[in-house]
Amino acid sequence: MLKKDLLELCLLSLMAQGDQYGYELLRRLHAVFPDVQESAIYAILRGLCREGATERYQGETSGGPARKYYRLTEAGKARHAALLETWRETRDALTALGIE
Amino acid sequence: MRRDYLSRLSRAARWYLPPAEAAEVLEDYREIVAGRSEEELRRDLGTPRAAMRQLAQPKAYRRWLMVFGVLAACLALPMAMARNEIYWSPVINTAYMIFLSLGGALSLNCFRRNRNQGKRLPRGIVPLLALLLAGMAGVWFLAGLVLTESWELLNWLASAADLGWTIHLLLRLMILAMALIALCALVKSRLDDSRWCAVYILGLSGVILGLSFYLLMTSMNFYGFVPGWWRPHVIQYIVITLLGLLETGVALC
Repeated sequence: MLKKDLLELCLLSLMAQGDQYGYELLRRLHAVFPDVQESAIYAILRGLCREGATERYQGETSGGPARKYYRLTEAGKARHAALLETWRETRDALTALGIE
Repeated sequence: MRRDYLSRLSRAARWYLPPAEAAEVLEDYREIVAGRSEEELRRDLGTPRAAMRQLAQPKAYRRWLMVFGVLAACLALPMAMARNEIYWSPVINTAYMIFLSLGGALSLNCFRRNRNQGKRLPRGIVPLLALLLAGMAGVWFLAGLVLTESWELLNWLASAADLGWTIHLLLRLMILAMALIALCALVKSRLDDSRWCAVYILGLSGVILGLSFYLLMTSMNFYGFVPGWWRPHVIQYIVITLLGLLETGVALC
């Protein structure tokens, strides 16, 4: 499983918990993976949007600039499930080798 | 500092991404860069170029590079052909018309489809169009004097012995200046406003017009006293000028 897939899994998992504010997604993932630049996370997020796994919409605001939120689509839910399965297999394989 | 980063980011976005996507990405990045220093931005996001390169879709970006290459070649190849005119002379005038038509049609198709302008023309377009028109008028003036054999009117320019050399030098400089203006306008059409392609088209027309006259000046063909020998040349210059003006007008609309 590549790191890109791992980041994709994290983004999809966060969105599976509920709609997410785009900027917040970048900050949260960058805090967990400080060696990955926010621009790279943003590129993955846009890639997911382009592939139809997520869709974005403008949230309601009171005065300030409109915030963009992201939510999972049906295709995104399927991709999330597939990535999660791959992750579990990888984790089990590593555990079987005594790598924890 | 943040503004510098944003403006560089904006240029990079417009170069690497299609216009609509670039606008969307920039809107997002305005929010992302807010409240951070240049140093933080470089650390968290990387250089503007690297940040935007990650977003470029290889297929769309390659297509843009190909269009840019063809449009730049429409400027460069006619000049290269003029330098080796002896090898190209049977087809050179046809080739020039093909380059002019191809450059005009392709740039209109590419940039008018992605129109992103407001009502007002961006600053710089009008003075450059005026400069290019002056350049084309200059070519017409020189062509008029040569074709009507009014050599005496050029005496103010140089002595009779240096006249040919002076006209060549003047023409070369004018062609080179028009080509450089057109090339810069081509880049601006992508980075700034699509109506900059009007400057590219007029520059290309000026280059082709100048080169057509330059070829006549340097050709070894001797027309002697054949009456009306100049007519096909004048018709060719008129076609180039009218085509250039028409396409420039379309690009500005």
